[in-house]
Amino acid sequence: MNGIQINDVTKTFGDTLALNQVSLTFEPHKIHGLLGRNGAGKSTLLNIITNRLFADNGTVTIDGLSGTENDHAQGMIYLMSEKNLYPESMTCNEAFKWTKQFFKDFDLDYALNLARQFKLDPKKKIQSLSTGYNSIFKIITALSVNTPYVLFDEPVLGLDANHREMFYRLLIEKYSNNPFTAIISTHLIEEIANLLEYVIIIKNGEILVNESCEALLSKGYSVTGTINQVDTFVKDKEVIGEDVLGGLKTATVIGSINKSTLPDGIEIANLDLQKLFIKLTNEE
Amino acid sequence: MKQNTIYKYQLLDHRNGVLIFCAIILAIIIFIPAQITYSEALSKSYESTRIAGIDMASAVFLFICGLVSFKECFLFALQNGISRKSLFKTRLYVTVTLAVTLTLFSLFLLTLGAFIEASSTGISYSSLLSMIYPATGILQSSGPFEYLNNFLFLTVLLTAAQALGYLITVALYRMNRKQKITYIVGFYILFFVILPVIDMFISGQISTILLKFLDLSMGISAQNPFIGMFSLTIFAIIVTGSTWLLIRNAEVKN
Repeated sequence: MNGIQINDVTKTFGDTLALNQVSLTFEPHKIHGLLGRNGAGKSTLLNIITNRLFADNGTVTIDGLSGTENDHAQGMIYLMSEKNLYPESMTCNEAFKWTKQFFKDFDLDYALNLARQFKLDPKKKIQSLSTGYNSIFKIITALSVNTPYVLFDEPVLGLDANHREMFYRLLIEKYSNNPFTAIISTHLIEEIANLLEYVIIIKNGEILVNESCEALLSKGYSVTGTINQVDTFVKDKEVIGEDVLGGLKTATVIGSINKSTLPDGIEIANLDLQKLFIKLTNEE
Repeated sequence: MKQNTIYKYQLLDHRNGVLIFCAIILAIIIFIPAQITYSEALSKSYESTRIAGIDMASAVFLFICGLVSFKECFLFALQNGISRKSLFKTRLYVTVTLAVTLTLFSLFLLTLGAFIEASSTGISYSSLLSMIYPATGILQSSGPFEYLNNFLFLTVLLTAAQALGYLITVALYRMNRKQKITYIVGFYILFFVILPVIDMFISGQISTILLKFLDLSMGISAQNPFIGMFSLTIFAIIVTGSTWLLIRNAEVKN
C-alpha cells in the first residue's frame, strides 16, 4: 500500500485560492489529524481526494492509482463528510443496505449493533435526524465500511460529550482490531490529540506542519507551578500559551528542556497540541 | 459491481412512479369504455368517442422523470465512490430501460385498445404513431409491422424525452443562482412573449418556419415515421452528448 499521495494540488473558487500547490502523503495504517482554522482548505482537500471536487492542477493517487474518476481507486476510500450526500427520503437502514452493495466489506451487523449502542433508530429517515444523530449515522457508516482509507470531516459535529467519547473509543477499537488509514479533520484538537499519529496543519491553503505527532509534541513542553515560579522559569523562553487557575500557572513553552535544571515545585508535561496549533495558525 | 448497483438504484428510484403512472393510464383506458357502456347518455353518442395518442403521456412522464433524476443520484453516487463516467453510462442504460418498459406498456395498451374497439362497438383507440402518420400504408394494417413500428418510434421518442429532461436538470445543477434565474425567466420571456410578439408582427413567419421544420424533421408530410425516428435519434444523441459535457465537470456544491 502506498497511501494517499497528493502532488502539487491547487484549487480555486472564483478569486479564492483554497489550496495552493499542496503536496503530502497520508501514510497507510496511521491515524492522521488534518487540522486548520475555518476556511483553511481541509474539506476542499478531502473532497478532491474523494473525487467530489476537481483540482485545478496536481494529482491525487490512492495506492498508486489515480483518484480522479476512478471507480476502483474510489472503492478503497470512504469520506464521512460534513455535508449529507444521502437522499433525504432514505432511511438509515436503507442507506446501510445500499452502502453494503457499494462496498462489499461493509459490515451490516456491526452497523446495526453500533446503531443500538448510539440509540439511533435505523428506521428513521435521514432527513428527520437531528444534527447530532446525522453525524452518528455517518459515523456508523464510516466505521462499518471497512475500506482501507476512511476520511472523517468534522465527525463529531453536534455530538454531546458522551457520544464523542464513544466515537473516539470505537475508532481506537476498530483501528486496533483491523488497522486502516484514518484522516480526521476536526476543530476539537484537545479531544483527538491522543489519537493522532500524524498531524497535518493547513493554513490558507498551504501545508504548515506535516509530521508525526510525537515529533511535533517534542518541540516543546508545558510547565506548571506557582505563578512566581513559572514566571521566573519561562522568563527567557518562548512561551506560546499561559493559563492561570487560582495560584497555579501553566505555561506552554517551545524548545527543549534540561530536566536537571528544573527548579523544585515545577512540574513538566507534554506540549499541548491545541496551544501549538493556535500559536502556529495565529501567526501572520 | 458498483455500476450494477448504481444502475439498480437509479431504476428503483423510478419504480414507484412508473407503477403509479401505469396504473393511472390503465384505469383511464378501462374507465372510459366502462363509463360509456354504463352511462345511458354517453352510450347514445358513442360514435364520437375516441381514445388517441395516450402514448404522449408516457413521453411527458419520462421527460419529468429525467428532470428529477440528477441531483440526488449524483451526490449519492459520489458518496459511494462512483465516477461521473459510470453514473452517466448507467443513466443511459436506465433511460433505455425505462423507454423500452413504457413502450411495451404502450403496446399492451394498443392491444387492449384494439380489444375495446372490437367489443365496445364504436370506441376507437389509436396510438400516437397512427395519429401522426395516419396515411402510412404499413400502419394501416394491424399486426407485427404495426407493433414493430410503434415499438421503434416510441422507444426513440421516450428516450429523447428523458434525455431532454435530464439535460435540463444537469444544466440547472451546473448553474449558479443568478444563471438559473436568468435562464428560467429568459426562457419564458423569449418563447412566450418575445417570439409570439415578433411572430405577430411578421405575419406568423416564425411559427410557419418552426412548423415546416417540425414537419420536415418528423416526416409528417411525407408520412414516413422513419424520418421522425431518425430525427429523434439525432436529437437524443445531441442532447445526451451535451449532458455528458456538463456532467463530466460537475462538482459537489456547498
